[in-house]
Amino acid sequence: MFYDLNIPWTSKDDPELARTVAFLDELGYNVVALNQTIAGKIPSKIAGIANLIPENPFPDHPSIRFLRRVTIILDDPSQNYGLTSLSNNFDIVAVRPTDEKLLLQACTSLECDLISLDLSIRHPYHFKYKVLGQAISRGIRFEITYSASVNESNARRNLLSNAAALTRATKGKGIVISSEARKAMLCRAPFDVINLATLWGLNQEKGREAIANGPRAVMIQAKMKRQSFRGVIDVVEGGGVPKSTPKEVAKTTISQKAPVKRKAEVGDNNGTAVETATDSPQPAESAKLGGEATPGECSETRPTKKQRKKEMQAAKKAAKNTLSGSVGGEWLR
Amino acid sequence: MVRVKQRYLLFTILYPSGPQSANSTTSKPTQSMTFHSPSPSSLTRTSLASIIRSSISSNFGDWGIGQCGGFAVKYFSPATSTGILRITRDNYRILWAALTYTRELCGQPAVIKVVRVSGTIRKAELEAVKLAEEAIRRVKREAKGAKNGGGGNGDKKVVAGVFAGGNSAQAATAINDDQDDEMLVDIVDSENDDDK
Repeated sequence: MFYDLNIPWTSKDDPELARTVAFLDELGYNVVALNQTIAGKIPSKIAGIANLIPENPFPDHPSIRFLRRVTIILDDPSQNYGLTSLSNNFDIVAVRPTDEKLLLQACTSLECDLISLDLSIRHPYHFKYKVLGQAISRGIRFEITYSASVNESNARRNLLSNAAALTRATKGKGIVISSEARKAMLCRAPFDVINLATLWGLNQEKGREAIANGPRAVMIQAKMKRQSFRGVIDVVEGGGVPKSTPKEVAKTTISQKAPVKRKAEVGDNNGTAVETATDSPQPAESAKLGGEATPGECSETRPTKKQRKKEMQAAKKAAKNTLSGSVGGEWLR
Repeated sequence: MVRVKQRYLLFTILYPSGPQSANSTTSKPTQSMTFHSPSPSSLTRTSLASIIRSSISSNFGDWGIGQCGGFAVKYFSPATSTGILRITRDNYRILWAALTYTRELCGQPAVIKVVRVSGTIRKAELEAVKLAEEAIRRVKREAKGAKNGGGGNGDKKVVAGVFAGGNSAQAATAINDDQDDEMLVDIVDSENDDDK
């Protein structure tokens, strides 16, 4: 499973976007996040930001799963960004801090899933583990976008130095690589991207994690934040007893067969006598099976799986014997 | 004397701008083959090598050229836009990155995708054959689906469309050496099998 968490959304009818998505499909990506960027002054009611991206925008690519992501460009440290309310509308909430102060704020306090730094420009500050480590310990990951570096040589230089600095500062943990490609020709295949990541100081495994497992963690964590109770507990299935489980059937057959066996023991104790002798540690157990004899005692010592299996075999044998004879044949009919 | 360890990179060239108008006369490509098209005839082994070399020098400078200027284009088929490069094992990542950073070939935007890194050329060849077969199978399946849906696109026509410029592929065998010749024959054979 390979992920590309950043494809800028334009509109549904944009042929270039459709081509980009088709090209990503061809390259072998499985999950694509369509990104809507919000810049400048945030309206007072942030929840009012409409999600322009439809639920399933490209139905002719069934192998790709689409996510909806929003990126907010932070440029005012005093402004209160109500990011939690955004997460109801989007699958992933990302922020792009523009200076060091905002980066610190994003790392320590903001409720986002992903920190997307613009690595194609020179930053006037250094990345420090003290700052970035806080974000990593909160489960927030950092995004590196590579498509600008494919397009332009100046951006490539900056990206190389910035990405190397970022991998050094984060010790290679918590990094996500995505494309941010506005054109199909700026996308690259997953393994080519992993190879690029080795140039930035990641190794093969960490590079692969940055494009496969890392983005998956981002996706799942965002989902957990949105759906679950305090991000910890989520009800996956409604519960309830599934109908007609094979276990129940097995139990009833045992309880039906148990008296048959006893009769068999009385009638012709050939096979069953041997069987009961083999599980000598609890010889009384097999007789008590099915709760026929004394239901109170049965709950005290439950037969283990192995014993139950043995008893099943014994019961089957007994049933065969009785069938060949005449006693108790009606139980099986 | 320790043997020099090599890596063989099998790559395919994808054309993200879609099919060119010149090719569209042969047949309309199916969905899975949208980005696969035959390379222009001006793209040969030597011209490809010079393009890659210039990409290395622009990305990695003189040092890069010194490190991995000794690569060789062992095989290139313009019909299927696949090829094999040989490079010493220590430097294959540099060459790979140079391929990734290549943006256009012969004036049209192109993406070079490395499909397989292998220690022997034989494995790379097998993979190339497998890829070609898979592509044909995929196209055939899609063509079948189109037929059921009411589109009257024959298998043969589609396969012919995939390998449009099949003649040039056969012409290319004359240039290539024996090993490559065998492989191309393999590809062409499988094409015929599927035709029946």
